[in-house]
Amino acid sequence: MNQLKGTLTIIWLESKRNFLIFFMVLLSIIVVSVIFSIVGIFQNAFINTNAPVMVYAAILGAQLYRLTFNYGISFGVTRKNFYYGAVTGILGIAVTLALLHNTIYFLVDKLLETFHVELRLLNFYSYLIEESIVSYLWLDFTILLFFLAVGLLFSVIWFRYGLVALYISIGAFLMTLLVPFTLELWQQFIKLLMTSENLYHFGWLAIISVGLFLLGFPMVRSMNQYAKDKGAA
Amino acid sequence: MSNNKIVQITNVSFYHDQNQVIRHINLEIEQNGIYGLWGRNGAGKTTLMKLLTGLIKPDAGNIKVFGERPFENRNVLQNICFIQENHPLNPQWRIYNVLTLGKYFYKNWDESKANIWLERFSLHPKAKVKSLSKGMRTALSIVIGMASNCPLTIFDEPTNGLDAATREIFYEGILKEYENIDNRTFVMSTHHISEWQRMIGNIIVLNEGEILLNDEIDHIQSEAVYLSGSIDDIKPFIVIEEILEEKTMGNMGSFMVERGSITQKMDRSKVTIESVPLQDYLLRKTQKKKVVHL
Repeated sequence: MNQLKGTLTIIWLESKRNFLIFFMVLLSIIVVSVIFSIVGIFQNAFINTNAPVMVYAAILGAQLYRLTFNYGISFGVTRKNFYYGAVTGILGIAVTLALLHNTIYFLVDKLLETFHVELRLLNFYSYLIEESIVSYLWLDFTILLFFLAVGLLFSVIWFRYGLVALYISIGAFLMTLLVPFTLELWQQFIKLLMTSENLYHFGWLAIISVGLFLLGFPMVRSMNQYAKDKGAA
Repeated sequence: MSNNKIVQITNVSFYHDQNQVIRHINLEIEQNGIYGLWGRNGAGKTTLMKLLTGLIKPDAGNIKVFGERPFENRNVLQNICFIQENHPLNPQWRIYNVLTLGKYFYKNWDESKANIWLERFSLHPKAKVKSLSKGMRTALSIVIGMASNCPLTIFDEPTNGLDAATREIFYEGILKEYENIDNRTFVMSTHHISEWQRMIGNIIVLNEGEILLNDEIDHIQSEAVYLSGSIDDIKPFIVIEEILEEKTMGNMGSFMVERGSITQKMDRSKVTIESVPLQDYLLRKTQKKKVVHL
């Protein structure tokens, strides 16, 4: 239990600063956009907060393991326990990101509506499901968890096998996604997932994330400390 | 495992990018002692310490610490504290964050001892790691090592960057700890053995990935002597190939040799025999080219 607490503390100490910076920047952009809309510089403008949060989640996931592993292992934590801690931390980050993101979205949306500001807050999820706090939260959580998990897996591959292996796996990942698009069956399947409420109801992104977490685990178990240097080389 | 042997290394090898950095090492470390680990740069000291502390896995051989393999073994790792040279500490952390982590990760963590050591080194708990000088960061690493209360505490070059006064505080603290607390073994790697000489019981000398010497420090030091006098009075009595250091001027010379290299009794009235500083002996012992002509 103490190892888990320790690992979570390391993750929190590592991510709290960039967490704060990210949300400060996001809020600043929203505030500036609102001001520009009020004074008339922006007309019929819209802003989207999903994309930056997703990109941030992917970057955070990719950086987290690389930045924290060395600290944890130097304090004598086992790789297994550290990975459990990292995955738990990522779950916590996904929940926190989803909560903060949706709080900002609904709050700003309400304010814009109340004060009749001509700025549209665009949310991707409005194309997928009915707008509600719970549905947006769940969807946001699964999607952010997926981005964090992908980032984590790539980070572990980089750390364990180096830069070349990272490029190969990113290539393989993209090919897996893109090549089947030439197949009509695959196109229909993706359409089914993305254009219906399946994305919300099945939470399949959360299930894939669990798979990605499991995939990274065996790589971590036999990882040597200096592998970081190899990865960074 | 015999009761007092906390480390048993058997025929361990380790490769780094196809280079064999540890070569078939056999080593035992007993409980309660201060061990010195000496070697030139690249001798394999840090690798050996990382193997001992489960940071890396041996490619061959067997390592047992407290009777079990250390790699991925929580039972062992919670009893080992390894303070690396430039110990990984996030620059954004405050000192009290570091102490919190110590409390979580080391089962014998002693908060009051941590505070005592912070005070000794004049470190303020609210200070950020990035605001500390190199010496102060090293001092903070020492605080972790001392407060961890781990039965096996390993320091890699612990005095690098410390000023003379802080070094003294550290040496005194280590001695006190060793005298007052049973069941604590320290391993200190160093390039400068002379500073540690009064504290270390045994010294392990590594050279090119192999253990060259492993014995009590006094015994190792007594192994080498300087022979000074006329070359004709010295050279016939020693094994020329085994001279560790040779300084000659005209017909006079000074030769560093091990006692085992002296083949016959010399005329003491013509030859001066002096002890060799340990650091010099180890340097020559691990040096490939040994002849110095003045």
